[in-house]
Amino acid sequence: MKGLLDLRGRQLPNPIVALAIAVMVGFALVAILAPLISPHPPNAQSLMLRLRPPGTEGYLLGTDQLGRDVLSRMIYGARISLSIGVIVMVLTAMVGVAIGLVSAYFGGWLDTIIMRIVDIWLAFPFLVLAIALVAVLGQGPDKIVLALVLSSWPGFARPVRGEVLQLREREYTLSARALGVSPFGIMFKHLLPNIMPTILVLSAIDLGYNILALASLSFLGLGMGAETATWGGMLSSGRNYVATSWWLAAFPGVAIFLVVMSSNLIGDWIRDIYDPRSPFRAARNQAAGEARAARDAAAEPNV
Amino acid sequence: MIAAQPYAGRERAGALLEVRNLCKSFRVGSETFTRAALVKAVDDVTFRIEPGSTMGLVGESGSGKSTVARMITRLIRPDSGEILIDGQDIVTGGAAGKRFARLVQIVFQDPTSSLNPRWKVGDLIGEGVLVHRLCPRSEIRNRVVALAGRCGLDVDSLDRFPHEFSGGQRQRIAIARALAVEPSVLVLDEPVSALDVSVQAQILVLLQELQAAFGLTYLLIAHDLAVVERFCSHVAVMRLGRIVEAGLPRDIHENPKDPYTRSLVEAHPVPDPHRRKAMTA
Repeated sequence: MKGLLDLRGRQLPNPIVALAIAVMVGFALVAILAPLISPHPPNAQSLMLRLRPPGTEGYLLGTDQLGRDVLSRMIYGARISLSIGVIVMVLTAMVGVAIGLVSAYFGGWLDTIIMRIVDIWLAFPFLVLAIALVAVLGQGPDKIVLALVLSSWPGFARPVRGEVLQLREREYTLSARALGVSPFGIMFKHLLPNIMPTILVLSAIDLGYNILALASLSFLGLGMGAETATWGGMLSSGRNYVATSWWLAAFPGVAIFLVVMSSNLIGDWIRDIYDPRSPFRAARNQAAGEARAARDAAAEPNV
Repeated sequence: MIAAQPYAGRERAGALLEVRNLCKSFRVGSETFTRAALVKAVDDVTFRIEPGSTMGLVGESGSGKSTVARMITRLIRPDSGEILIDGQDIVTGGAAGKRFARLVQIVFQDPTSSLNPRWKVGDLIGEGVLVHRLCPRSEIRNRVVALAGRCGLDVDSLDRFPHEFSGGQRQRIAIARALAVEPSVLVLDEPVSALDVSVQAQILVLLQELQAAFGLTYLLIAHDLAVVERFCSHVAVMRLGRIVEAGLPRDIHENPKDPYTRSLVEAHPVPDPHRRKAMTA
């Protein structure tokens, strides 16, 4: 387990990835510090100052049709987007990975049934499924989380299953079985650490999807309720004023774009680190191989 | 410290391994609409290995020798037949079969793939001790150190990862890992064929030392007759799932009856010119 996230000796992220990480960290800080840095309460209205453009005194990003501060609503929107995105990501990963592991490890009829369910699930577009579930479950953050987890777990289950199918035939799995380790011991102590790279990549990309899905649901009016400031909701209500007051829709749109783009870039970067065919990885392996050969040569007399 | 020694308090660990009428078939090419063909991987295999001795199981690839190894270590369930260790049938027992893991262990061919790359060596060796609760948690480290020392590994290797070691060292780790649960029978599935020739000899010497110390019973699977001849008291030759020939290594070497055995003997160079002449004459 240790050494898994140990990035020493791995190549440093390229500038674009560094920027993506900075964007994510920046949004996370904004979300955490929202009450401290937000210039106004997100729902404070002042009807005298409606639809003021960015740069108005005290309203850096302008105000909306009810005279609420766009910047403050963006800041609180980051809170909702990131927290729901991360919670959904963690829960989806846990559910999907557990199902994929069990399906692949035990195999047989259980695997067949689970994979047919996955096929059925994936036949529906992700967002359509999420919309249907929210419509059934109702509004509110907990319902949204449930709906998103229920609609996206196969995205983890299928790739995890594929990888475990290979790993369970590896000799180290056989060796653990011969040693008398229980199936759950093998799954969680032996196989899980070895599929961690895959899980990390899937998680990073899933985070982007979740934020986009949350924005889409809010845009459609399915989600947190009209009171709550969300990027999707701001985008939706700003749509009516886009010809006259571009800032209402533009800033939430840019925020969604930045966060989704960043999480995808980070996901790609993690994949590149672990992909044996990636050029960085090849160079690293070669260096490690040479170091090992040198050590072996030195150690040969007392092997 | 005495309790930390491997096999402490056990006079001789070796046990009698008997295999009777073992059969295993595999389905191949099973699709939804096509009938699966049944391939007999192991067909009515019977042998016995005396406590503390070594039997070699030789055969070309696909002859079923590895399937036999996996059935003896309970990784594959036989279709029929018995596997007895000191008279106990280890095939039956189901989930309670965990205790049989303490009777028989396996060392695989390639220690690169038989050691989990994300585990430290000390944890790999100690896993069996932990799983079978052979001693209090606080004692595990001592046991692992003692066992590692026995297998020629030093203490500071325990906190490193398998990929930091050479092939020979890794096979020592795999051997220590298998011996941690104090098995009576050790199945060696081509334990040296992935190693350099110079390292092969060292691993074989280690295995002989361990056998002498603990009285282990070995089943050595190999395709190298030179290794088998030096290491085993008996040899069985498998072909297409059956044992086609069995006996003392020297007899088989000098008078191979089965065509496959003959080609195996002929393929392997004899370093002694007198014997080589006698063979060709």
